[in-house]
Amino acid sequence: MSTIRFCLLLVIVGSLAVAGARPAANSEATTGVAPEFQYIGKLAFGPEGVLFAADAQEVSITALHLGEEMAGGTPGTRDVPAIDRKVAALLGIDAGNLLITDMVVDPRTRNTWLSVMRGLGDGAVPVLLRVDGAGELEVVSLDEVRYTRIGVPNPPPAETPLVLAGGREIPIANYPDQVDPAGLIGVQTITHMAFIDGNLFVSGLSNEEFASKMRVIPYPFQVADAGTSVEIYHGSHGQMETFSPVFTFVPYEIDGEPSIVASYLCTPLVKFPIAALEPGSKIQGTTIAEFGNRNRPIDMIVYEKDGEDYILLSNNQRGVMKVPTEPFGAADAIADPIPDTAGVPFETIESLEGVRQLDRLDASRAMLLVDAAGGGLDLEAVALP
Amino acid sequence: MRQGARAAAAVAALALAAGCSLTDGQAPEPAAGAPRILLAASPSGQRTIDVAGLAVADLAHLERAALSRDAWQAILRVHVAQADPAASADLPPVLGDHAVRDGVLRFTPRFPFDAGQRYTVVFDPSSLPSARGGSAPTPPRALRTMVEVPAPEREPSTRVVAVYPTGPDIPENHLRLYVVFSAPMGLGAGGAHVRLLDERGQPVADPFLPLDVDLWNADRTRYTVLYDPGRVKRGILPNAEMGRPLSADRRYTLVIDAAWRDAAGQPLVAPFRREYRVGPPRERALDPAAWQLDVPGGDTRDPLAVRFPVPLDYGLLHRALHVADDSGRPLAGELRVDQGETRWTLTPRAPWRPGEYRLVAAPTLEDIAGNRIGRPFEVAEAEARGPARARGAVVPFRIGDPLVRTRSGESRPAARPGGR
Repeated sequence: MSTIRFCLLLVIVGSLAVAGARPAANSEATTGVAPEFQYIGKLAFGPEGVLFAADAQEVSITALHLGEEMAGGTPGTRDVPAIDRKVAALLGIDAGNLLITDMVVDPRTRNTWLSVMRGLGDGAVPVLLRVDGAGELEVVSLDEVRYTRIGVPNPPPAETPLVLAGGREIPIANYPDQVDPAGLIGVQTITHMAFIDGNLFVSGLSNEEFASKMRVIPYPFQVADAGTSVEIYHGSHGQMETFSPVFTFVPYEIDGEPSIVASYLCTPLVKFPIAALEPGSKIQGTTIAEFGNRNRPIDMIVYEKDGEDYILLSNNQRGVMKVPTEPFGAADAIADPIPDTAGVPFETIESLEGVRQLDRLDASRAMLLVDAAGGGLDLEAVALP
Repeated sequence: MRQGARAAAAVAALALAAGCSLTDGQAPEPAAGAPRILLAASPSGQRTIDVAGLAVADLAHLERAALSRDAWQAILRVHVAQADPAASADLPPVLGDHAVRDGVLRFTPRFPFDAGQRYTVVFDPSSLPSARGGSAPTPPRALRTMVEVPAPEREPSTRVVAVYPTGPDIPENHLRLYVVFSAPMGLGAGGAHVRLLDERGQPVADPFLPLDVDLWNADRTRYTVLYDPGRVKRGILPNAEMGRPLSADRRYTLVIDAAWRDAAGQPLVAPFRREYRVGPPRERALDPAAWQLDVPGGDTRDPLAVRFPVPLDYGLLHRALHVADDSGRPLAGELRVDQGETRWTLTPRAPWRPGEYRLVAAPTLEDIAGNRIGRPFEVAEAEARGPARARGAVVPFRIGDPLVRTRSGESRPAARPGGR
């Protein structure tokens, strides 16, 4: 090969300098009956009769129109010891081959819903289950369930046909910036979803880049609108700023302003107003608490007790943390690196250890998926601390 | 073949049952026509539990009856066999459908029986009409047996084929690494199988991000390991408490244990070890002006090579860089990333046509410490509001006319019709 070395003439391109603040491009929402999943992951309840389920393998979000199926069991809740073994037994496998990917409580019926993978290998099957007020486990059949779905296969195919003038097609190597119709590529794993006032808020993690976006997707899913995506930043004590993936979050009104209270991947708890989630905006959450090492929140719920609001955060390495929200409105960005717990005070609830999944059950109780004393997992309702 | 043999066995049992009917209330005798439990297989390969040898009257009754799930399970139930039988008392039976088909009472599991899993099957005829008729001298006894779908014999065959970065040197603020396997892996959590050892061979405490999700590529052959960003980022609590997981001027060994299961349920062929030397943190934005292009000649399919002064992220090099022609169309070709992720090459599918091209870098391109073009991983907040946003870059280059050798040995562009 003859090699010629060029002096580089470098052009920094202004049009690309959008730092991820562009609205997601068009996306085709699909509809049908009997949805199939490759890997059923996070769940969130939507408007009446709708359950959102994320597919972690193909990075799509499916709205399941469950209708009356949603309320099919005995209302209420019941503790189910060794629930992992019971679900595994029902599905015909050893408990070691079961993966529970999420647990949510239906705010209307107080039934608990579980998304699981039956098997860990080639033949793994996604399954949705409901635990009703009689403690009955029921596999929810999706055979006749209508759905709408948004998202794209991830990664895209290795080649994308490019249509030239005259209708001739040539395959081109795949460059995702050209084939990212739903703006979901680079997410890879959806870590949390919440339905707030007609919009589905979605956080996710990328397997290839540290930055990731909060997405706001209007529901019902539109054919030509995959919502907006906004990159979230974290300022560490007024000095340095980085991209900062949101791992989990909860909607909460702070001083009358609808807000998101979010847990960053790097452990700070932050707040930002929902109104700021506009296309083209750059959001830097205000740090309201820092939890330190091994305290990364996995699930969060808001509740009221004795006239005060609290956020309860679960963690897969330590106990559950209880944070009073009263100081949130006043909490300014933590200004200095503090070698100890910073920002608003929090309390670690030592009695709640080994909590794998957490959701609000009712005004006074939380539902937990928690490590059982003899191994395995218990489904257990506990009084909110 | 094995399935076919089992189906034949089921058919054989049916033939025996048809030839010997049991009267109402008669206790089944341990004869050829007595009820018996079979692990059968349909022509489509679906495994079922069949109870053969039932009286015609019983089958007719069951066929007419509208039984609840509990009532069916009282007659025939299948449990996942437990190592401790006492622990199985409050476990539900396997979900499935009961029906009378082909002259047998058949249980079809909702999900296929797992190969290698043992199941306990109980058939209790006491609620059948033949048992309730009152003429039986003794109540019929429940039949209990164990069945198992044989698991294919497998040997470990999956290996770790690469870990990125591949070079021996990493910065103190290294953010992410990729583990590539030779075959798809299982869904079990990967985090427990990846450790970092210090120079004394002791595990580094909590170097990686503990999450309840795993980060895989689509076919589960590439696993992403994130260092705990709360420790890598400066000035926040985990960093203040524990410091960065890596320290400059130290050596570390990444260890991937062989117990990690692949999609066939097998462990890895061998554990994997990789030693890294850690250098100072890399805290500068990527600067495409420092990239070096080796531009091939026209009318060849020689690769375009781009060399970087520091290793870039292996994953992003596959989707955040491309070459476009003068009309902006991406070029099809084969990407290759090598030399410790400091070289990216594109071998075009079609020969280079002489003309203007551009190397296009997306704003998402990062080095192995999360630094982007125009924006370091950590940037002073005062700057962040201004120009320090990550941005893409375009590097124009020109593919010249094909070179020919002159008699004197010099290279010069070949004359082209029409000239350029």
